[in-house]
Amino acid sequence: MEIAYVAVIILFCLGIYTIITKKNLIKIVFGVTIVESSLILLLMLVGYKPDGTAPILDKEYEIVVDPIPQALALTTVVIGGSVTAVMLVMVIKIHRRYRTLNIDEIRKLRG
Amino acid sequence: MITPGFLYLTGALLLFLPLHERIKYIISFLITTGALIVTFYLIPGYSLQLDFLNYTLVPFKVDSISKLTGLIFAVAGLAAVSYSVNICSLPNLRLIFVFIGSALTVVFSGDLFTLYIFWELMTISSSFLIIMASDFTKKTGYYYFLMHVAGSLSLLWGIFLQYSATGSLSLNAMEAGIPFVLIAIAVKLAFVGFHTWMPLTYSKAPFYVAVVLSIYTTKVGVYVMARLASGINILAYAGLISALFGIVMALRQNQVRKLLSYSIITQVGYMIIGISIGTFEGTSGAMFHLVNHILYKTVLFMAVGVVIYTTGKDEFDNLGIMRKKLPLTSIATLVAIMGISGVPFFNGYMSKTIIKDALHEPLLKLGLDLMSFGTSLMFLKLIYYAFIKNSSMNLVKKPTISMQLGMGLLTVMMLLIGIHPYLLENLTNIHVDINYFDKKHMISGIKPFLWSIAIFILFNKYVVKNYERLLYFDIYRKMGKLFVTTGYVLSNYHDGKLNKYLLWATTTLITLLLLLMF
Amino acid sequence: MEAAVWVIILPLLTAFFLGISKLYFKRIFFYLVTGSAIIYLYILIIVITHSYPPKVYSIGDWGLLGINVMVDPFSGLFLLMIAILFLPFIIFSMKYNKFLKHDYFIFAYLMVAGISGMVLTTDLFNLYVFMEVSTLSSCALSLYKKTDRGIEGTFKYLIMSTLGSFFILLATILTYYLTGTLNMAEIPLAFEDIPFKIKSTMMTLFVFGYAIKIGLIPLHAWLPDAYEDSPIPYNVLSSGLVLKSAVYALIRVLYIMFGIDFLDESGMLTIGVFWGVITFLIAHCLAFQQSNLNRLLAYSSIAQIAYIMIGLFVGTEAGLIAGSFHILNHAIMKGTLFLVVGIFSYSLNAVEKKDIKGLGYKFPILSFTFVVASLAIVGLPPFNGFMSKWLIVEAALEAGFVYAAFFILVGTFLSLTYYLKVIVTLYTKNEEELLIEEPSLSLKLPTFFLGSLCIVFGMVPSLPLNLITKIPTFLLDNGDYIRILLGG
Repeated sequence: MEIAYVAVIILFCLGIYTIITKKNLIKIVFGVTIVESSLILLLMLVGYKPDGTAPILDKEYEIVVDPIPQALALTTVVIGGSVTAVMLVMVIKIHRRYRTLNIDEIRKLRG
Repeated sequence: MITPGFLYLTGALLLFLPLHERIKYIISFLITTGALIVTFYLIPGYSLQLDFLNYTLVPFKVDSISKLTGLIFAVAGLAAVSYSVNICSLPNLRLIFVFIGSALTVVFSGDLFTLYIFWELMTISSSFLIIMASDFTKKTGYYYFLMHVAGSLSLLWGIFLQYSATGSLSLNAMEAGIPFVLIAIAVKLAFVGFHTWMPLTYSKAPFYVAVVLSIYTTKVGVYVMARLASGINILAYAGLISALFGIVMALRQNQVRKLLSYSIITQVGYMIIGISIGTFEGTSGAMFHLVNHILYKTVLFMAVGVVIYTTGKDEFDNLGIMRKKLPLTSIATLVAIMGISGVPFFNGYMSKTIIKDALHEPLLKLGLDLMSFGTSLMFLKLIYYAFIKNSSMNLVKKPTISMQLGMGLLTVMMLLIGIHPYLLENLTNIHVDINYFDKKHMISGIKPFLWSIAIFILFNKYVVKNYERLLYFDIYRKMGKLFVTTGYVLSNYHDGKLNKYLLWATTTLITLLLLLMF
Repeated sequence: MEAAVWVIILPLLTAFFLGISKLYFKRIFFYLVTGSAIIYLYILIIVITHSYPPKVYSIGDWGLLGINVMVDPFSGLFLLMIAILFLPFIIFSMKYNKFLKHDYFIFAYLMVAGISGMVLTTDLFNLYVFMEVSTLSSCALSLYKKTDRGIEGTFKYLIMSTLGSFFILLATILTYYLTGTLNMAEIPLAFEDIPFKIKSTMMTLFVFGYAIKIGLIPLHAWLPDAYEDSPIPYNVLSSGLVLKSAVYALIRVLYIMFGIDFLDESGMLTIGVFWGVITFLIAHCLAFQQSNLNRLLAYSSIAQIAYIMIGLFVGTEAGLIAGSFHILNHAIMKGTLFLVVGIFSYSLNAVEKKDIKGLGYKFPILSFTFVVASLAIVGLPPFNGFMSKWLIVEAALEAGFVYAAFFILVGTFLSLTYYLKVIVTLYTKNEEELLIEEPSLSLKLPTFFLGSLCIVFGMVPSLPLNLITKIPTFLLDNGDYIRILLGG
């Protein structure tokens, strides 16, 4: 169990680190998805119970995992997917206009 | 009850209607005379209450001092509007109406909130008047606006301090935040050190704008000082220094309107001295001086305006046209100069005598004589150029009738007050127990004037010399530069690097964590 | 169904039908957009008038488990802002976008749906979802012009705000982990047993996430970039609603979930006020440097939101009233300014300061509106900005934040420096011949409407204050809010 939480922390920090330091636009988007997955993993862990089964309300299954985080995780996946899609669209557009993917060269806006 | 300030503001609104030329004159005439009549029949002691948010405001309150000030404001408003009505454009006329209206409301306001709002409205309307008036006054207007808003924000801070200390907004002498109120007043009445806006504005703005501004701006400062910060004795010396500074600077000017602006600083010095004595005589002397000063300084500005209107410039040499071609203006100017020099039987003599009588410190008395002397000296220079030196100027166009009407009205009032000083006292029931025309007062009144004539004749070539402009150091521009440089440096940090922005964000997160956790 | 629910559903439905009409019935487009906006206005007015006493609407028969919608005066204020801004925005954009584009209005409706959802929801996770909806559609709108600068600015905006969203999501998940619920009423009850340090970490995450969306310095860099080359009517909604909805969420989370006592204890109030002061001082310095009007107004937005933060973080009843009033006023004033700039850019493509030289004589009434709005935003009487600033300063003084009160006045002066510069440029004569496309009535009318509100709310501040004075009751003491939401 604990090791999973450690993984979440590592993934989260790794993602943030990628977003902040990488210059390549694609890599920045990767960073965003990494953070996203770490959060989804965290959601799963929050609802997890040892030996639990899928949340089906039936007498057969006594230990079920918490259903709410699963619903949340689904929503987060959807949102994350759309955010990533929009970002990638923008990356394509930027590449067409600026002919580069280096974030340091995309700086017409100053001041 | 209709208040005079409200009348003027309605007038400004009425001028928004699609207007025929003639209706413009009719509205202006009706509003100005109406305001004068309303002010004349105000009964001291009347007041009006209004609930606004959680405060009980007193937007209108009359007592003898405010009635006196309001009366002269209304008279001067009538004169100034009729002087400028057919020179200025319609938007400017609206602004003039708003300006005069808010000045009148400040005078009759009974609480600090109303006072502040209309004080600020004066600033706004006058600044836009300057900005809109001509193409050369954009920067001047910018400077003027910033300076005055700095002043009024200082007043606002003073009001806040007063409110949080006492919990009331009523218009009494301030208990807390006096330094801030003093700064605000100092900006308004162009105290030395805060005066930089004044020569700049009055010499660059079109002449009718200068006339209107010179009537109200500084005088409202004096009135508010009498209300909020009277009786601070040490300020008398400050007033004296300010006045002497005004004299020295005025003598060095080559432009007539700059001379007049510096002379305002000097005259305001009298009023500061009168107010800071704190006694009844002192304050009423200051208020009477305010009335007289409005009369003669307005006439002088108007006369210079006529010269500018007819010849195009306000160099000293252009004044020469007065003697030959402008007889009415010449008479008005002479009367005004006699008044401002404090010669007996002219209006300035009366208030100067009251202030001098109220003073007890020998140093200040000496200073007052020196001030009268300096004033006379600088206006002798004006007389020299206008009436003694030969000139070969020609009239470009004739002054309009309404200009001369405005000037004539004020000149007649000056003469009346000069010959019968008790007129003002009777009008407002402020009675100062002085016999104006006894020997002692007459001699002390005429002495500085005679001295100045002697000095002028002896040192003629120093007084009428063309001085170089002093390279003066303006601390406000330096402060502005500092602000701009800071902004420039900060702006350079925003060079478009996303990584940098994200780094700032993480730093903030860590700082926040540290701050909130420990 | 209840009207409050329709506040969220109607824009969503409209967006959906707009998409269909793009495919099949192009002719009904115009009627659909305006008609829906008018009906929306009607619904909003109904909901706003019933915002006191607060009401809870449950969707479905799930009770507390289901999705609840609550209308209280604070959310009523935001609905009022939508009501004031949205219809003028629609009318203005109809004309402003020279070719009618369906996606523009689809995204606009989606954005408003997201914002109204944020304002009405009582569920922490829904708050996050609605926020993402509004952020994404707001990104799409700011991308709309598809110029180099527009794309670049939007990309930066999206990255920064996603970073913020992650922290908000993280905090939301952790809240669920700690308390086992996401309902705003149940969280504070469960929060009582949580150790102080963990609580303040959670609060830090929330504050950081929302502060990025609000654009407090130094998290502000995306804001001027996103504004610079986006469609100008969008900027009206963005500064008026999108930024403010983040303020709403932050205040809701802090005051309801954590409670005023905890805020005071942990020093959040002091930090908030201090942060506000720093923010507006720097933002004013930066705004003075800008030559692009959109950027200038963006920096001024940052500064104004800092005033709002000071008002809301003072932590007293007067402070909350003042801050809320300034939220409303800023939306109106900034809306007016952006619309005037929008007309300038529509008529002669002027967005730089030097381009508007001499326009004061070409468009006298429009320029007058600009002057009124900018004097209002500077905080000079007798306009609405002055009233709310007066209240903020008074509240700050009352609560003992003397330095904040003093610096607000300094800030007023600094903001005058750059607005006055624009005004002076506006009234400087220009010799060049200008090619001007005369703006039509549908461009001018929204502008004049908002401009006149600046004067009306300044002269009669009691009009909006009737609603606003009820706000602190349900924020300062979170007990009332919780009781109503739990159905007590």
